[in-house]
Amino acid sequence: MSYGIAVEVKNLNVSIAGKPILKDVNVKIPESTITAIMGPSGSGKTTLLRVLNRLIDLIEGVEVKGSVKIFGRNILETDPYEVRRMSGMVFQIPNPFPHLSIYDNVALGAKINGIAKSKRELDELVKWALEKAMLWDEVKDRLRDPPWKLSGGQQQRLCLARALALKPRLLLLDEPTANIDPVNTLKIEEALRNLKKEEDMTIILVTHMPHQAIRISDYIIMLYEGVVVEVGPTEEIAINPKHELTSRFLRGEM
Amino acid sequence: MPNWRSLKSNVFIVLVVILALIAIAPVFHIIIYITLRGLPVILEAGIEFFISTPAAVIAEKPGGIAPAIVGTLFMTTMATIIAVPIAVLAATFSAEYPNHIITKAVRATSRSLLEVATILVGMLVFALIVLPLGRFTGLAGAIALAIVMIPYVYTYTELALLSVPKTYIEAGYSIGLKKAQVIYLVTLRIARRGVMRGVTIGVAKAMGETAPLLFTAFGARNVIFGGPLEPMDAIPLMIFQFIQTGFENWNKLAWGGAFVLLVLYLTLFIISRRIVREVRV
Amino acid sequence: MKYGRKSLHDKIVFYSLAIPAIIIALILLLLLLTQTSLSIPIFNVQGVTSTYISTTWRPSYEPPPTGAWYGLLPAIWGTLTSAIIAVLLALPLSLSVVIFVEEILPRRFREYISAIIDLMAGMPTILFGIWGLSFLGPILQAYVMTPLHEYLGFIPVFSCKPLAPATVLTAGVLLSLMIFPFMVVVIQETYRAIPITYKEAGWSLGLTMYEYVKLNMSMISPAIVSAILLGFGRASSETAAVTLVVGNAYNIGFCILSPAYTISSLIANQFTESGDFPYMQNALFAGGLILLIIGLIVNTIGIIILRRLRF
Repeated sequence: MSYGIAVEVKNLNVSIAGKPILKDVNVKIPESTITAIMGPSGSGKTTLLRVLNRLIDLIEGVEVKGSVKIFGRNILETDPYEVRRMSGMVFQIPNPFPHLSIYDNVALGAKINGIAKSKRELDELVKWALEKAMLWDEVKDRLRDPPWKLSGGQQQRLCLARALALKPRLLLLDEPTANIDPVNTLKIEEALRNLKKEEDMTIILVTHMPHQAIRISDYIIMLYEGVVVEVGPTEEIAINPKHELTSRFLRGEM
Repeated sequence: MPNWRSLKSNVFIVLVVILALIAIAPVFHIIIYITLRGLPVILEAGIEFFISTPAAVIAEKPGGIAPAIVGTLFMTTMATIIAVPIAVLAATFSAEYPNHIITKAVRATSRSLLEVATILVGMLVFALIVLPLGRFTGLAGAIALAIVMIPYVYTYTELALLSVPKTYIEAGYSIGLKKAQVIYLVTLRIARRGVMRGVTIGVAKAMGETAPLLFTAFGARNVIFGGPLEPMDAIPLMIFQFIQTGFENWNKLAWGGAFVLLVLYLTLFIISRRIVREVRV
Repeated sequence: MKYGRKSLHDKIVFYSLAIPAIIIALILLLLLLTQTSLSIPIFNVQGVTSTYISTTWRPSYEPPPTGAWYGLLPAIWGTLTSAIIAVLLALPLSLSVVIFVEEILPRRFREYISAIIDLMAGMPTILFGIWGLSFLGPILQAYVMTPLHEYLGFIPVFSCKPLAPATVLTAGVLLSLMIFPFMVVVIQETYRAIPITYKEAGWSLGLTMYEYVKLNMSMISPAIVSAILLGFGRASSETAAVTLVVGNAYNIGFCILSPAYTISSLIANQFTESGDFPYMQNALFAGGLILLIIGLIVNTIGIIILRRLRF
């Protein structure tokens, strides 16, 4: 396990159409950890996540100031397409490409970015990604099926596999289990724990559910109205939150 | 004591039903009438109808409308090849940059072209292509039909692209796809049924137009296919010209052609509606 | 790369997509330019106003004003009259279809009526034309126009004897059948968009169907006006069908039971010979120009009115 810093955010200010969304955010996220970003709706957690893979660029009228380094590179001054290849993202509502088969959903990113050079390499990569997403056994006999034949929880695990196929070192998840049933939620959490342990993956997870954060994360970042309210190891914050907002959130009052 | 309000309302309802039925009835009559007058011509002439040129007016048999059929097939295909890439790419621009001034200009142009008299399109192509070349050509006809087709394909494609849920587009970017790849591999693919619908409707429109061809392709009677740089016939054009003559043979050909056009149109119509039914996102 | 700068790839995509878009935008511009520039010669020899308000059409190998003279008023009149007749007839038809579909017909049949309307909207106009020529015209002449002249001949519009099936009235009736599907779409979409709360309010007041529909229609009256304008625009643009049934005689007068020209049928008939007569083609372009301007104005106003509609 390494102890380097995966993500370093300094004085990040983000505004959309003039309205400030993130104000003077400063955080450091260590490698090979699971960090939970928490906060009520509108606190800027999704925005912070989307800065990390430059998806924020797709919003009109967005302004980003500050410095964001991922594995040492300032991603705000790098080609956005390169930045996106450094991480994988799982979205709140499962969104596997409806026009592609299960296999092609996972394979598309790897094929286009030249990560797998031959058919055999691609097959192995798809199998690896689906195994890590804990979906392989359920779909190995029907890789050509369209995604709508899968349940919601299975589709979300498919999206996880799709994100993993680029073999990123950083995994970003935006409330991935918000719309998933409890059984699949636990499966996904187990997948994340395994990824951290077996693949040294750095995982950043936006979550609305305090219990989830306590269950699986090593660090917690608490956001409120675009400002970092509290940062620290999960064990400490869970037992002894320093800020009043954090404790209210953990108790489920927000 | 009769309830006048109720009575007025009931009379109103009866009136509405009658008028609605009067409005809808003619289309059925048109279909039946054209079939009754056109199908016998084809049955009588047999395969000749599709492979011969029109006979002389005093001949015993009317001959066929091969020049018109070939012309329609050629010009409609060429028009599609010209119009679809331009319209789809322009619609992609509008979907990607919806607030750009170019988008506003294209939308306004498309809307106007949908309403403008198609004979004016023919005059435009006449002025820009027929006059400089000094001759009527099938190519000019194809370009005129392409201009007629473009707004239909553009409108349906833009609609289809804007209906693609943004989350799929985001997912595409998140796995490192570049803009062109997202457009081509994700957005257009998901929207393809809507695009196909627009193309089908555009083809049906182009295939049935008369006015744009009057002084571009001009018509051809004796040559089945002289090439794109010669005058060319088309089914609607042939109908228009032949029905205005007094010659019975040629009138028969016009009715036969009308039946063929009707069948082609109905087929495309059914296809366009089937396509939409199979969308599943 | 500084934040906010577009990558080379993005720039290439932008310009590649912009080119086809600009091509389309240019089409309308080219249309206006060519129509205008090819009309200018006749404006130079006849004057703009005279070209449009004169009723004389005198082809000659000698150019105007001494030899030939090309006045467009009868054609303009024919276009306007046939379009007005078409809209007057199409309005009750389209309103009836909308009311029928939205309030009377059981829901499960809606799709079929929608399909029929769409079918009519896209049907090749030449098919309407030959049906009009060989069926509708004679029927109208025998059962509508002749009686109108016999019994109501004292009214100026019916004062001439219908000698042939091809008249302004025939064109108007045929056009009404061709334009009412478009009017249905405009009115129906707006009718469907009436918030359900307003409709419920109408029902709860105990209104009869007639009063309820009248209330709804008055709420969407801008849409009806818009539909009228758009229908008028369509009717004035039609060529193939109209040319076959309007008679193509250079007439002007109040009676709608006589043949006439419309701008589009004039162009359709005369364009190919116009090359032989100097300035005739320019006169036809002048006709096309006024047709284009009428169409653009009417459609733009129609769309603006529709946009302004708020509940």
